[in-house]
Amino acid sequence: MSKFIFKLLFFSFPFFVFAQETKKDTLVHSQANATHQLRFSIDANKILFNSILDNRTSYEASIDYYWHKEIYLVSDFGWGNSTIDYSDLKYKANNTFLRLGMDKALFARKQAQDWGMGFVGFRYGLGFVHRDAAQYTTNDGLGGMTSGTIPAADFTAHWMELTGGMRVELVKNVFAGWNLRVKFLLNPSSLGELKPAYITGFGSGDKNTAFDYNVYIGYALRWSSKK
Amino acid sequence: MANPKLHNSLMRILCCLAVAFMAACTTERNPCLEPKVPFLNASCYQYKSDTKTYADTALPNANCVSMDIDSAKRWYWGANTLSKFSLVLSPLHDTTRWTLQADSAFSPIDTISFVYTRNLKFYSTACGYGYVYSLVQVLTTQHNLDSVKIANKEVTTKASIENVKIYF
Repeated sequence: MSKFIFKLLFFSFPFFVFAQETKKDTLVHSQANATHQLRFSIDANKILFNSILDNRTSYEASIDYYWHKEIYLVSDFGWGNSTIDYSDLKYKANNTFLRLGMDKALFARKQAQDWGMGFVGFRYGLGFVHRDAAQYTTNDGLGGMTSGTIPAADFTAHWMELTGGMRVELVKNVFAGWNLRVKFLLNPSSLGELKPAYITGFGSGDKNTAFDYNVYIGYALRWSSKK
Repeated sequence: MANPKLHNSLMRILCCLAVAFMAACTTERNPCLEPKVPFLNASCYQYKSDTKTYADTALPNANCVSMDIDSAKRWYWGANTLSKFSLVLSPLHDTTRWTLQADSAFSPIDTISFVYTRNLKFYSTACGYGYVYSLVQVLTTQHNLDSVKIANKEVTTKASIENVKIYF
């Protein structure tokens, strides 16, 4: 009985090994010809500058999904806060944001496993801004000094942006890259007169056009379509 | 894209961008480049019987002093041949009084009381808040001058607006 079991295991071993190799090949083949990619990225640049700048904090992340024909559907999101702290004007603001849009790779991939790219794209941005009550002081140097409080307020900011950038696959599934962005605030008047020093996701609150860049570190999940 | 040369170029570009962005980032406040102090602009007129009109009149040696503004920066002492005066209103009160003496050598002194409402105005993040005023009424004694009329009730930082006409 023991001999039978031994022989069974001995002869079945090659099949087992073969089966494993076949599975491994299938995995490699699947990665190489992956037709779907979902990539998660965080903006390392913003994290760096959070430690340098004392009047604002911002965090940004991005998710993009390869749709088809070198088009990626993109959703960026994040949150942050900013502070105005002058001798005659003090207030804080915070906001969350969501950007939706798409990127188009400038060149078609020559190989299925090549997911690096240069791209251009656009976004629609939506920011939900809360400004705390502001403390002000007036002093014209002649008539005297007064002070008071402006009540807190909530705003919604809308903007469009054009973007371009690159993604490089440093090691398997791990990406680095950057985006350059030019943004156009669509409803500047809705932010009121006391605009936030910085709207995370957009930029300086008192400008209608903003330039920005992101440095992303990301990880990609890939899979093939089942046939 | 996994080309080492391309990767090195990319890193150089990123470093340059980071340095440029750090240089551009500053938390310093932008300078306030617009005037924040509103002045009430008063002009002096005198009735000319020959033409039967009021003519712009320069006062010979005028004193114009505030009774409520402590700062003497905007007071006029012995202002020679001046027909227009820029007066400061107090942001602490709704009335500011100024005295006017057309000729410091012999003219009697008149008191002009400006009654107004104060309106808070936001100039910019760089300049902050200030006050502008809306004139409600002007009261005056008539020792020397004849009357005072409001020409434009909005007292702002625009220097070209004539707010009050003073008639002698």
